[in-house]
Amino acid sequence: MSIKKRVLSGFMAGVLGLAVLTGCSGSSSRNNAEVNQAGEDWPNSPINIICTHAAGGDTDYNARLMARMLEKELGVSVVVNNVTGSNGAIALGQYKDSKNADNYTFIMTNTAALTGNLATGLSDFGYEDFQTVGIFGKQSGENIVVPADAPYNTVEELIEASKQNPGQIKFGISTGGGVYIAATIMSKEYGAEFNIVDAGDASSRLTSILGGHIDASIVPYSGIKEYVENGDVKVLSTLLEEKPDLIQDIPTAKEQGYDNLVLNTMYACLAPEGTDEAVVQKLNEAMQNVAQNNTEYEEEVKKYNYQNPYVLSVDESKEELKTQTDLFMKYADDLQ
Amino acid sequence: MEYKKNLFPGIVLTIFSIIYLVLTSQIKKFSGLGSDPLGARAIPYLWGISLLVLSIILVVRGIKQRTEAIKNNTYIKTQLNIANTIKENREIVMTFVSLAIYIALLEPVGFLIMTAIYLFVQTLILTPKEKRNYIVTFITSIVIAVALDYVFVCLLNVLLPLGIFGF
Amino acid sequence: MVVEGLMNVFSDPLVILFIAIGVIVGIIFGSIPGLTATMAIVMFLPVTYTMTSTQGISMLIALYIGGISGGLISAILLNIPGTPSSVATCFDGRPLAEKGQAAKALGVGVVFSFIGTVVGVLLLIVISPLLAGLAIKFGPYEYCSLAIFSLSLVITLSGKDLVKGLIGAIIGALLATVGLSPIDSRQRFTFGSADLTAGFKLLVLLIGLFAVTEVIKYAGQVRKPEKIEIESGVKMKGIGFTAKEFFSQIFNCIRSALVGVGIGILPGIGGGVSCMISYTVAKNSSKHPEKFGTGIIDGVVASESANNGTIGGAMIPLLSLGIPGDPATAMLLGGLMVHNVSPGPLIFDKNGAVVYGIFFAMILSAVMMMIFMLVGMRGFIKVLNIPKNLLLPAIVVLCCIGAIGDSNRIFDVWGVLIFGLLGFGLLKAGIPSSPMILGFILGPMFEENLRKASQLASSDSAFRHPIFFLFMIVTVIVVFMSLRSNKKAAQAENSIASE
Repeated sequence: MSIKKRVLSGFMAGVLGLAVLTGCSGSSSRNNAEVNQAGEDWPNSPINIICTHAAGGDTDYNARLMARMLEKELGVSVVVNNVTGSNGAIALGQYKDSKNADNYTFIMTNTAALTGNLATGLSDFGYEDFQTVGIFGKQSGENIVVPADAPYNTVEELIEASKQNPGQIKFGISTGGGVYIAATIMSKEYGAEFNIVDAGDASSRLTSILGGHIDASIVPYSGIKEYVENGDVKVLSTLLEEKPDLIQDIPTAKEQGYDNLVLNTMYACLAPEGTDEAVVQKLNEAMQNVAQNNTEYEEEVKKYNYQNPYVLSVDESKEELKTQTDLFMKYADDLQ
Repeated sequence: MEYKKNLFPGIVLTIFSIIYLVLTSQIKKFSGLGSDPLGARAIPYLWGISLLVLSIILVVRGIKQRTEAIKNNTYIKTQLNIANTIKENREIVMTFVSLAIYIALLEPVGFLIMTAIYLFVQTLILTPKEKRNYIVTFITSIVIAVALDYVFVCLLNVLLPLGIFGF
Repeated sequence: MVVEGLMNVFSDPLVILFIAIGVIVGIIFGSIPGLTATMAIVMFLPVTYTMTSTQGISMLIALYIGGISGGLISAILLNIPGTPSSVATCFDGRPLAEKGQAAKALGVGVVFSFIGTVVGVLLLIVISPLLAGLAIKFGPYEYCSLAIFSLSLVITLSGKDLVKGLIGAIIGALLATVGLSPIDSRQRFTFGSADLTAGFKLLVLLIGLFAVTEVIKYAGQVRKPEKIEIESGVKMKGIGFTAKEFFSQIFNCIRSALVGVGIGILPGIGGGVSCMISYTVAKNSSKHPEKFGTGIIDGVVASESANNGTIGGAMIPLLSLGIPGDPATAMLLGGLMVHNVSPGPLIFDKNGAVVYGIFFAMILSAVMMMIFMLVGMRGFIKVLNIPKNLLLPAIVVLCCIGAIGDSNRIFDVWGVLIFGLLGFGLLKAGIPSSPMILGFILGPMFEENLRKASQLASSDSAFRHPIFFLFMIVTVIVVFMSLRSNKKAAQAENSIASE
């Protein structure tokens, strides 16, 4: 054995020993099949959270912020991983099975994806195939937006204009999502005659408005705020049921007389079927505590997304998910 | 032998493009609000038909080269001997097989164990018989597997499969 | 504001430290096949949530620049692109390494990566609003024509056999149709499998085509002693190349960086296409196109200046419109928003100091990238000393980790195997793989925008889109010229053969 080889094998043995000694303090207890009956001592090992949307988006941000706060609340590490694809359908499909029910695996997603995918046929399961842990946030709202120099100032004027020139106003949507359902409601319920065109995700819809490729669209508030201030676009209404505290100057569509034109996107935490009921309850209580009593949390959600802390109990969450699912399923035939 | 490089891929791709076109015709149409005039089938048809045409060109080219080769007496009749071909290319076959087994068992057995085994086997496959050193390969495989597992699972929190043994 | 931005970056030693860490981690992620710049940013984004805004954003930018630049190392030394942005670096970088000039290829790659980054950043600083205005002019018609134009470059990439080149491109486009269709989300070729619904990923395709194929090539010659051994005792002298070589590439470099910036400002295309387009443009306008692919520095320069130029380009719509151009900048957008910086038309008014801070962080990252890579080159070259039978299996495992880590699915590892088999089949059939990558990226872009344009056609005709016509005319010219030059090359070869 040459010296080089000896040094090499010495080094390797060192690495091996070090790795064995330090072990893995990360998320190592993912396979505790036998802890299905978690009692008083939950949680006693790291919690895994699967986020259904990519890092950097609003769903991810809300999940990670909540996870960070839960870490302090529960005293164990809470690790978020993103399993992405098909508007969240991949992750939800992968983790709905009871084989993942180890009391330490949870899923965080948004309600528009959860119910929208069911309505559009992208997935064949809804919130009922999971154990609902709770809704822990509410998006600052999707808004009907037109270029600043457009001749219409209210939703009514926009719909009237479309009736006068059928098929000439290009309304940008992303087919299949919540925005699409809102456009469907405008057409089916309120007689709008837009040329409904696909303009991609929120940021491409915004670009398309700015570039004059489409005449109107629906975009989340956080993306357009700067453009409204700069005088590039104007907002006709928000699709939230109630105006958020932080954005008081935009009327809701409901106020303008369009009762069914409502799109409440919320962030929800789910658990695989078969997760211990007591654990679900405990986690929900922890989330309520964070949203209601944690000032750091409050500041962070306001700063990032103009959100107010918003949280529902397990039963309220189930109710809300049912309402949203029913609304979306009403239009399922038009969507598939 | 040049014709082989045209004829065989040509035939395979012709069959493939026909299957692709049949499957294209079964894509569900969408006619709801906001559907587009072209629909989900148009572009797959375009690709499928283009591939079909190009593969037929390959087949024709291959046949021409074959007849020419026969005419010039350079055509060598070869008998396809699967067993022989596999034996000649056994490292390649074994590489694919070991990779397939590695992937298949990754989830049930877990990343750490499977990686160590795979590294060991694959390294041996890539080493000529006379140069194999089982002990060194064995140690190296385990060290690399442990190091990768440590970096990615513990430090970077990648969801690598843990398997039945929990690591 | 400028001074404030400068102070933000340089007065805080932690910022400089985080940039250094970011660049190094980025280079490591970029250089390991299977791990990408995007993944580095994804993994570090949550870490930056708790930093100050300048620290966090600077670190993300450093990861981005390091990650894109690191890809050239494995492209040159192993013939496996470290990130999608370095695909075209293999074309000439590898032949250079085979000639024993790995040091030169690396040196050229690093220095021109640096210049490409700087050109991109300068354009970002100077004419960002103007270019952002151009970016929003691109609607479905324009993107559609751009996709057609880029697809026509397949002819140049095809080499001698046009039919096989086109077949490669179409196979790529076919593979990209698996999954949900654009616009109406129909399931196509999914056979009811939830995994196939998400489609194949570019990263997985690249790993399969390049990394697995390298292993297979090696496996095929285990018992044959007459292997091509790359001279591993390469000695580094300075930065590996001469001043004369440097100056001969200035024009090529500037043009390539501009191509990179141009592709970068258009959302949704990315570095993988920019390096290939730049490579073909360099080849088409070169005095000696036949030398491309045989190992000349022109090819490495074209690819590396372009993919790094794309960084500055992609930052333009990100900062001045709030629109991310690729997955990596989408992560950066998240990072900015977390730190209360909202990109958009008012960013200079509201967060001017942060924006200038970003500019300085980019330049500092580029400088550190060049220093670390040039210093590290002596070490990188040692990779060639590691016996391939040990190195390649480890790379396969890393690729599998990368495939899983991309979206945490085991299914993607099967994709690696499938594309490995496909790559092997294509190799045997003599079908080139680079047109396939172009087809895979551009096919969906073509389809999506063609179909979007078809929706618009009833109320907005193509005649109102001059950029559309411009691209179509350029496409016709390029197709005509490259067919002619291909024919000439074929004739030249025939006449040599008949002599």
